[in-house]
Amino acid sequence: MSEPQSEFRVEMTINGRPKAANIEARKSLGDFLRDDAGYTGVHLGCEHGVCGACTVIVDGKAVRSCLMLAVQAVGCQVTTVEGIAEADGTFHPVQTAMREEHALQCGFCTPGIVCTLVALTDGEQETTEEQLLAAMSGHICRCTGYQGIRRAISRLAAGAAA
Amino acid sequence: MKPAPFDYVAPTTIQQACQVLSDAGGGATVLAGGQTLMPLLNLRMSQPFILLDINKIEALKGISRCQGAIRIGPVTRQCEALANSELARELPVLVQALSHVGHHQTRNRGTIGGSVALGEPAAEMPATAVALGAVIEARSVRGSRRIPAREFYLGPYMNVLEPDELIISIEYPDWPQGHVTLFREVAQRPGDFALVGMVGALAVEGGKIARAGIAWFGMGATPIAAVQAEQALLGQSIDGIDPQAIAELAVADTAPFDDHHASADYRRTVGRRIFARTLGEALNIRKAA
Amino acid sequence: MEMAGERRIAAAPQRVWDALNDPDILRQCIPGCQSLEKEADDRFIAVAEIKIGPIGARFKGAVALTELDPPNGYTISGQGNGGVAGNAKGTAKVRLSADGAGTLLAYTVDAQVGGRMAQLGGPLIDATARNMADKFFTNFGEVVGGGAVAAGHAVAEPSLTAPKPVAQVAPVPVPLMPSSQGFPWAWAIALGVAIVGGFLLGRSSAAEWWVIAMGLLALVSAGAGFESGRRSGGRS
Repeated sequence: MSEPQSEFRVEMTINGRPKAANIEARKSLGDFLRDDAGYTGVHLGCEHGVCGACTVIVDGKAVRSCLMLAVQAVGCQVTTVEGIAEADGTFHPVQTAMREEHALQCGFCTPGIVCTLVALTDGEQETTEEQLLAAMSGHICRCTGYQGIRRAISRLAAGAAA
Repeated sequence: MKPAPFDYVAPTTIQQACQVLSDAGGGATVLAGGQTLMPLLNLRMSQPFILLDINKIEALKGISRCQGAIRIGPVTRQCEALANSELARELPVLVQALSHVGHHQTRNRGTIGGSVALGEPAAEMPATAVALGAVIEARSVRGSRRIPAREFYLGPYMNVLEPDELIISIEYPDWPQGHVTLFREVAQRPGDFALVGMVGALAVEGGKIARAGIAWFGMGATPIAAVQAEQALLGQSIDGIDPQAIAELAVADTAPFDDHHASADYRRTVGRRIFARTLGEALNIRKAA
Repeated sequence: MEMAGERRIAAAPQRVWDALNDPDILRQCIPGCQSLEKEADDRFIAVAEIKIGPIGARFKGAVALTELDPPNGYTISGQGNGGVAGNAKGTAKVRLSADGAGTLLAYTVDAQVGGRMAQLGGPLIDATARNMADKFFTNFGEVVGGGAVAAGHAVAEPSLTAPKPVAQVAPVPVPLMPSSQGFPWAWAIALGVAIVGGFLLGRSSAAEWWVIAMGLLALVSAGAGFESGRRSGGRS
């Protein structure tokens, strides 16, 4: 990548599995995850960083996959919503909390919200309920599901404290 | 929605990056965190020939102490600066301002330098650099120069950098321990750009204001230093300051505008109020201490 | 949009006139100009890129010179296409007159923009124009006037920075109306001196910043993407 080029070979680890492909430099990480890697749980909404639906976890941090080029994620560990549950299908606590509290309706915004909450609750530092709620400012849900999401966050925070 | 085709390059040293900028002759655009540039690329409002990604340049990252200042590398992520304990201790107002920049997810990618370089007039980082008296160091193959933040901005998204120059550091001068911090913004939602905002610091020695740095954001075409207010504060005893009068002077330096979010009059009115309240509260806390 | 202005250039009218007709000089002086070719004595084809920070568009345009009155002036008119960005057309009358050892360059501009660019709002574009005009005249003075007044850069380490000699290109204050319409991007690019000069709206006018700021807001309201850029960040 030391010379300007318009096409690259990229390799990264997605949900624990290596993935390599030849792509154009202008391809976003979100498009790469959906079109080349087949992880269609990555939902592209606005494609300019507002809606939060495309949020994935890159090297432990929740980021907008529409605001990052695939070529920038070379060598990174990427987790999409498909990689959150255990291999045997056991839900992550975030997923359990969201299911129990009915924190989704149509589900379009859900993968992004799950990724943000997982990145925060699985991180090295403890996260407070206030921090989790503040991070929700980066997601838009049009089904008026916010109350359910808030309850799920309360349950998560209570579970972490217990 | 796809960006127009471009050539991408991600050098690992400042020298290589400067060479790319020099060779491109103005046809290159620098990609830092990309939280503004990527939307512009996706919408094809930005169509560079070359996209110069500086995220792989380690020398542009990190927060360090240098002579009389804290030096922040431009590619330091906003989330890293937010979690930095030295910054929280030495320049608490910078950290406070950062917590209002975008959302958790955009701060994970967004950088200090990107926000400073972009110069959105309603953003927190450019105004904070102006208020605190930061100095921006730019490098090109022709050499380096140091630009005071107060001379950096020409207009919305326009600054004094030449097309071949790259910001390599932002130095925030030391403010004495226990300095008074000022920050308040009015925005429609958390993470939005401010309708009106102010940020600043006051150094107090022997009960008198020894140094003042205050700037507005969302109150004109660039971040605006409240120069008249700063000068009026200098040398004043903290017991004798009239926040209302200072706020009047501060608003006199602004040039706000009407838009579909708020009118210029609204901005002046709210600006005057938040300035007076923020200054008054900060001084009361100081007096009580 | 109409505007007018004057600039003083430290060179004789004949020399300024020659420069105004020299595609090489114009190409060097027009910010972002990638090519400017003379098709005929009275016709140019230009390609240039205009940038407002990261926002930018590439324009290609044709320029024609009429009412040629060497070395006293000409009328320069043209139109350009910026692809998805929009299009622009306009006319500028340029008059040169001897002013001591130098030349007074006076211009009037009439221009229109269309397409997406027009939605950006004239004031923001005016701000860009001001910036471009500044650069253009700095460059033009350097090339044509060949003066030696130091550039007004905030250079703290002059030994490291190549100092740029800049000619004495003194703006002459002229009362001007800030425009409320769009700015002729393509035109500016293509037309060179006259047009770029035209953007030099009353630089000392305090109202000007207000107008520019309005433009920013107009831009914001114009593009949903831009709006989202604002909401999500300005945070790169």
